[in-house]
Amino acid sequence: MDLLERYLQAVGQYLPTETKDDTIAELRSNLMEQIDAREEELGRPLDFAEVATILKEHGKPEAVALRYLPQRSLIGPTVFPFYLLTLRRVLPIVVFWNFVARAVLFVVSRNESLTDALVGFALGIWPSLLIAAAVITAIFATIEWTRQRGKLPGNWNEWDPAKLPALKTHASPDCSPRSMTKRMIDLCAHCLWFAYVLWVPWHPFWIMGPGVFYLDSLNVALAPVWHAFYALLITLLILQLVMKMLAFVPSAQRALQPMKVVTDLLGLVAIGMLAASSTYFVAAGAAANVQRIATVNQSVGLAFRIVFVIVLIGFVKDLWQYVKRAKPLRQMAF
Amino acid sequence: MFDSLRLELRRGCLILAVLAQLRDEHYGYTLRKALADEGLAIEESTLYPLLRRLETQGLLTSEWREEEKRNKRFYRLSKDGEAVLELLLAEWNGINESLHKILKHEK
Repeated sequence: MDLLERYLQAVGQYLPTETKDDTIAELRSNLMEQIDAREEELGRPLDFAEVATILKEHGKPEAVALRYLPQRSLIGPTVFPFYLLTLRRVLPIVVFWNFVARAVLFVVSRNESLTDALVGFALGIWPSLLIAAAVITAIFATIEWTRQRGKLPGNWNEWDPAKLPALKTHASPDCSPRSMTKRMIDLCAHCLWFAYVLWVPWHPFWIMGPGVFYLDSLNVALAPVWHAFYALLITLLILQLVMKMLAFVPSAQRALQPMKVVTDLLGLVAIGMLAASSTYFVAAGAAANVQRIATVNQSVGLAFRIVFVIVLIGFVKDLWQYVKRAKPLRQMAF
Repeated sequence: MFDSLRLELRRGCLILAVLAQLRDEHYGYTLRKALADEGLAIEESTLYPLLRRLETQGLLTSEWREEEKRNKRFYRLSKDGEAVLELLLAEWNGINESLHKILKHEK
């Protein structure tokens, strides 16, 4: 019986003091009854291994004790769906505002590179997310605690069907196929734009207007970053041309959305490349005014950084919409 | 998955079976044995805490008494427990009948 007492002692360690003696006494009585019945069956006292088998079947001490404890949960099943919904609504907002704050910092700061800014954002977002999640959890745990004690009036499942939003009469623009005329105009416009982009490097006036004369007066040439940008731009335009053509193929409609994400990302990389660079114009001869070129480079750099942040916000927004559409609603439901 | 569904299905049935069986007085060990004899085996680690919970909810009463030179805790259905058992049995019969009808349609 030494083993039985050792077992009961182990169970007792995890029981609340006020009910411990009573629970242990009942467990002892039941287990001894079980041991007696087995002994009667065998016609002899049980040995150590046989008692151990009975105890093992009865359960691990911690698990047995836990079953005697009242069921506890920080947030119960009634409040939990609202908790999850709040997390799903609030955490993306936290990410967005962190992103905006980081973007503003990136634009204002002249020393921070694009890579540093992105790494800073990726690492810096976690404390904010954790704090937001902890605060929301604390609020809902308090609500649950108050509700359990009947101090919070109101029915959580109360709702009015009449307040449901009106039925959407028009399909969302992303789902409805565009008319043939619109697709044709789109393709023609893209071809014209593509031709323009191929033609303009030899006719800079058509992109910079009178500004080209100002640059001539500065005696400058384009920095190598423009060549890389131009190659990326041509790749992007080819991809977009393929997409415009695929828009006429009904079976290819499903591929257009992921392709749009890829082209948007490529566009972002192209702008990011310009934003990350600090040199856009270089001196073309000894007569060049280095001081003025540096000022121009700085101004152009700031402009590209602002453009990059705007494009990045748009990309994140579109990507979020795409992920939401790609993920069926029932998977997002709890 | 079957195991968790089975567990869910059994949970409510066990409460009903325990309440019904405790119309006659039992202590933990004999109650478990009686249920097992009727074909409803239940683990000790499930049954004993369940008895405590039902007692806390006022559906059972218990008393310590000596029997065969050993102190045992005897459980019995309380007045409230009897009323709840009646309601639960009516519910159970309703579900049972409906299920029979549904399963008959499937055949």
